[in-house]
Amino acid sequence: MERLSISKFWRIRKLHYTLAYSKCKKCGYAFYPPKHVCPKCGSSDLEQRTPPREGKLISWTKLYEVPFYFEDQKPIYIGLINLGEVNVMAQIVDVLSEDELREGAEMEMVFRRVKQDGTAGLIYYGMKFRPAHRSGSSKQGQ
Amino acid sequence: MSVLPESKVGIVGWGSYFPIYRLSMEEIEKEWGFPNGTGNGLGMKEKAVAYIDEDATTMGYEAARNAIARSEIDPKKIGAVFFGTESKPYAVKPSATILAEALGITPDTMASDLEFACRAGSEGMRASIGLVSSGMIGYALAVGSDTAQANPGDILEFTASSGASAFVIGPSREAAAVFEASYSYVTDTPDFWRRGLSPYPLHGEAFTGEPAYFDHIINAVKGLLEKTGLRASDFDYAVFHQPNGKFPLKVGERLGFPKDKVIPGLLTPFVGNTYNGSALSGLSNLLDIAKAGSRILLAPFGSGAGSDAYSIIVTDKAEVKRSLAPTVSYYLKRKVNITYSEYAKFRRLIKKIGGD
Ligand SMILES: [Zn+2]
Repeated sequence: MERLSISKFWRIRKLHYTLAYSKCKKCGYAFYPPKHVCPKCGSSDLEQRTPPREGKLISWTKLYEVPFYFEDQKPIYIGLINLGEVNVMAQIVDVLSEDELREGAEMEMVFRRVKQDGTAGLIYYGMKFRPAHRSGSSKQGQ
Repeated sequence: MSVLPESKVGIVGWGSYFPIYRLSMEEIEKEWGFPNGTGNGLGMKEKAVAYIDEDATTMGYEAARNAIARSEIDPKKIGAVFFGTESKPYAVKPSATILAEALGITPDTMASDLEFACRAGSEGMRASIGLVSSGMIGYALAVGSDTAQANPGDILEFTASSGASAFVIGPSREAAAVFEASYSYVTDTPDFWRRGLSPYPLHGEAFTGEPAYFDHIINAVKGLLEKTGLRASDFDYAVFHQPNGKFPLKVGERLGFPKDKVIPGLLTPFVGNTYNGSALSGLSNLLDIAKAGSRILLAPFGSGAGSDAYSIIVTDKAEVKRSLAPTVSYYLKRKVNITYSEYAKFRRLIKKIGGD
């Protein structure tokens, strides 16, 4: 089983925890994941931004062939989600029915385990998405 | 009653989280050969089950995010993060630092995991009251979260479940509910435990009811009433630790709280016993629904054993804050039933060799 790199994850943990992205101050291009230079114009004058927690589903797919760390979750849903200035690709969880995965559906970030290094190694946390049903969140009682 | 330090602070934000999966009592009865109705006899309908990629830390994060949204403060202003759990993903390595980092609270903060069976989150709340009321810090975050484990086939399996609640404690002038008084009562009582390398807890059978749950909650509540001069009839709601659907009603009756004051904060029949999330989620639900001016008695309990009793008064700020995050009722309604075998996989009771 491959060993995951502790230092590599640790350096970019904020990125995993918030899906922070880069925006080029010169040409205005926004991209995720962040890089040191703008892939459009080559400028290194970039700022890091935090996206909103809610976004809209652009498209999705269902995977039966998955990396080993998703073996016990298959099949998994992977979606392309628009978060304002950037689009991100991420796992979609808590899907009650595929009807929830129509184009334009509201998605919200959830904090989950992404990988773990066996039973004794580190647990890697990060953001996934789930269908959001926030309307009437102040309803009374049960 | 003299002015207590508690009255300077209150709950400025609250939030809960429950996973979407539910396991019915019938599934457990069928699997392990219990008579039909065993679960209902415990006052249970179904229990919440965390998915494979969820643990006490991820659920604590979701509850805390909701609490911070309702607090309307910059997370950087939080000066302490207390994470109460008995299902730590790591035996050694704090979950509190993961929460603090992911929520944007680090690095200028205290952070620690607390352990006291089901009562650690509540101890975190009382410690937060002390830190904020003394002026040492401006705000504190107290979280109670568990993916409670039960030996498969044990009676505990009917109730042990997953969920979390969190509270941002801050100045009373900003609070949705203010603390009036608090009182703690602990003794060395071996009613329930789990040794270091055991995957599941053991319980001292006859020990769990009278000398543990009832004795400690009753003494904590009596201590609070004595300290404040309040009577049971002065409270509009009472929330007790909820190991099943029956004990909270019984202890309420003994203390003079009628059923209709206990039921609005009783969530165990629908989600199970979420351990550190148990009584605190009951409180969270009351903050979602109670009118300004309501007085709430909160009495969590933890095995080993101890109980805290709090008197809490809801303010007119609660109503405005409610819409800033999903309510408990939102999570209760968004659910899907699973089979025992799915539950066994989700909670890693069965594992594929060579899998992760
Ligand atoms: Zn550019």
